[in-house]
Amino acid sequence: MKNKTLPLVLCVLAGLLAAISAWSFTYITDQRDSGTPLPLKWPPGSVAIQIKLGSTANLSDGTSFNTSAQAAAQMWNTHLGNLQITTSFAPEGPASESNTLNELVFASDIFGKAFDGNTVAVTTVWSRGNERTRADILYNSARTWDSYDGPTRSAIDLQRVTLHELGHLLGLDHPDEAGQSVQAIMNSRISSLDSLASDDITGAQNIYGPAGQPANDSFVNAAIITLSPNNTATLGGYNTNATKQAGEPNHADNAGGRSVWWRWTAPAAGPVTIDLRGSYFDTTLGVYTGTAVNSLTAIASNDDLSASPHIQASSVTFNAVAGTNYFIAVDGFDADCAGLTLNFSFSPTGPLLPVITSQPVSATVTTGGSVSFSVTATGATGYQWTFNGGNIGGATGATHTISSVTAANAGSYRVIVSNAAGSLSSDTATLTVNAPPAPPAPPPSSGGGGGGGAPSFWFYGALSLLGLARLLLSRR
Amino acid sequence: MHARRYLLTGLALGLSLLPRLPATTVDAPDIDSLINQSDYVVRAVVKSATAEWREHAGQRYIGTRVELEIREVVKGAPPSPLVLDLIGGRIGEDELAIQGMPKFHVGDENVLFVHGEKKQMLPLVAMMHGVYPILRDASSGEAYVLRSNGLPLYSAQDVSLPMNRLSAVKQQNPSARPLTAGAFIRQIRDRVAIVQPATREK
Repeated sequence: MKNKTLPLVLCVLAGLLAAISAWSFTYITDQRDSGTPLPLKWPPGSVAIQIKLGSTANLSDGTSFNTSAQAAAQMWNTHLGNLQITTSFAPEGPASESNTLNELVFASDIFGKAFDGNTVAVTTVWSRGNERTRADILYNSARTWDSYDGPTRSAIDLQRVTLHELGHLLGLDHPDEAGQSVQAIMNSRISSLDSLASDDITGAQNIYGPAGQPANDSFVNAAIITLSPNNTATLGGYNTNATKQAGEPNHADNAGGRSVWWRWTAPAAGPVTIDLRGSYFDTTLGVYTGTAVNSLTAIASNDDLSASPHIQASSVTFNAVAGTNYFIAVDGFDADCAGLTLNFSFSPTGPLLPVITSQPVSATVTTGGSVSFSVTATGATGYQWTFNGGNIGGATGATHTISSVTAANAGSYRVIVSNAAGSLSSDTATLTVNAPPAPPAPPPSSGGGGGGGAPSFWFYGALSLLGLARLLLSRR
Repeated sequence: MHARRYLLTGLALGLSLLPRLPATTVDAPDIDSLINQSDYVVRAVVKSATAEWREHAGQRYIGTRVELEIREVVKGAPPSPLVLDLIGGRIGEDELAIQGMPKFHVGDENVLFVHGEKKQMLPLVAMMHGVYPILRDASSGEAYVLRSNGLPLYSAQDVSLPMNRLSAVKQQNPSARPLTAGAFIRQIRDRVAIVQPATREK
């Protein structure tokens, strides 16, 4: 099986790959999400793999298959923040779907189906929801394997294939399959590259972060935002290994738990838009003024930019006041974490955004009744009401009325108010719809009734009153 | 001018409309090898894709049954309907994925290089190298062939190129048009006729 001499099967692609012009890593994403799907990832902590490839140290670089694969895992570990791949060895044998182990094995088939002759190795990944739960790496036992550095030979270097397959296990996909030209171990074909490239590392760190806490983890260490001459900024960062401070508010009404902070001083008055598009997790965003984390004044906050299509990146807009310090917190919904992108845009010369002075109020209505939601916004020239995230056709005034409410109207209502400077969303108002009251019930019975039951308390009471009346009348 | 428009249209539509086909470590065969390893080469439309729980030797897994409506047979005598039996799929919250296994959606049209035996891990030859999506240009109605990464194919000989390498045809002639489905199938037929059955890999 191994170390046999077979015809040359791998293409040497040295010199092919162009210099890196841009990051181009790609991810295996949650296909349930039709909006902006996020990478499928392991929960923070460790993922244990059991290596069952063989312990005989007779390979070209002096390793065994087991230790060669272990070294590949360690190469990834040095670059990962909130996840580590832990390794153990076991005797050679098949992978089992019946256990919960993540196994690395030589195999001739998967679930009884033979390897395609062109396929060197595959990674099978189980996921539940948006989390990875288990993975096996199967190496085609019909191929000839070795372990070595440098240009490819007729035998396949198990270590670089393991680096590649572990990248799939972590959640990385093929940049070249996404139409990108970049030097990466994650490209779909084996090359003379025998270690992780910058693109591979950056890609993995965008899911699991780099080692250590972010420098802007705490409020007092908020990173300063400096805008470009066109008053924009695109900032990168991570909230992996970040924490939530005592007294810190919930951002966008979610407890979160891994917040990082930025600070910006408005040089002039004008509308500001901040969004987290391009981040690799379900974000929340809050903007505040104040001087201490436990006594902040909320200016704006947001969880999801859009409910339909579902965009889990957050976005806020607000009117900045000249000279004011604004603190921007980025957290993960339910403490989700990964790499983030913060896009900042300021318009010191344009008109100000509308200002909502009166928010729509939640209501409870009985079926068949009517309800109105209203907003008051100074400077607004347009309104668009939404129901559960989707626009309501024709609902473009400051008040939205539903004249005959049905159960289907129950849900969340918001209004987007806009003018030439941009738009902002109101708070959410919830409509609760109650069923109409049940028809009047028959008078309650407490005993009596037909069938020889005992006389009721009321019967005895009435009888006593009657007796008392007769007694009084008879005395007269 | 037209060629540039076709290229840009193909690139844009290909990248925006096609599901990406993640891959594993696979050698890309050349066109003759692709043909020789195939029992059937067909142009087909996906009629249905149904995921189901399965069991093999006491191990439970998710598989997907993809039923194809054949529009054109280029090689072999495929059964009708032609069914691809894939490992992996999603049922509710649970998903099993083999990285590199192409994903099929109802209505997708492809040129497919198919193994006849059902015992193969993937009934397509060389995973992502055995599927060539067809994309129709909205303005001209012409059907173009893409590689699995959504980039246009310029010649049948390009199937063995690394995914990120520019076609030699395109390098020599920057105004070259992407290959139409009809032209791709003609080139495959030409190769089928040239390669003697005795030399075919099976």
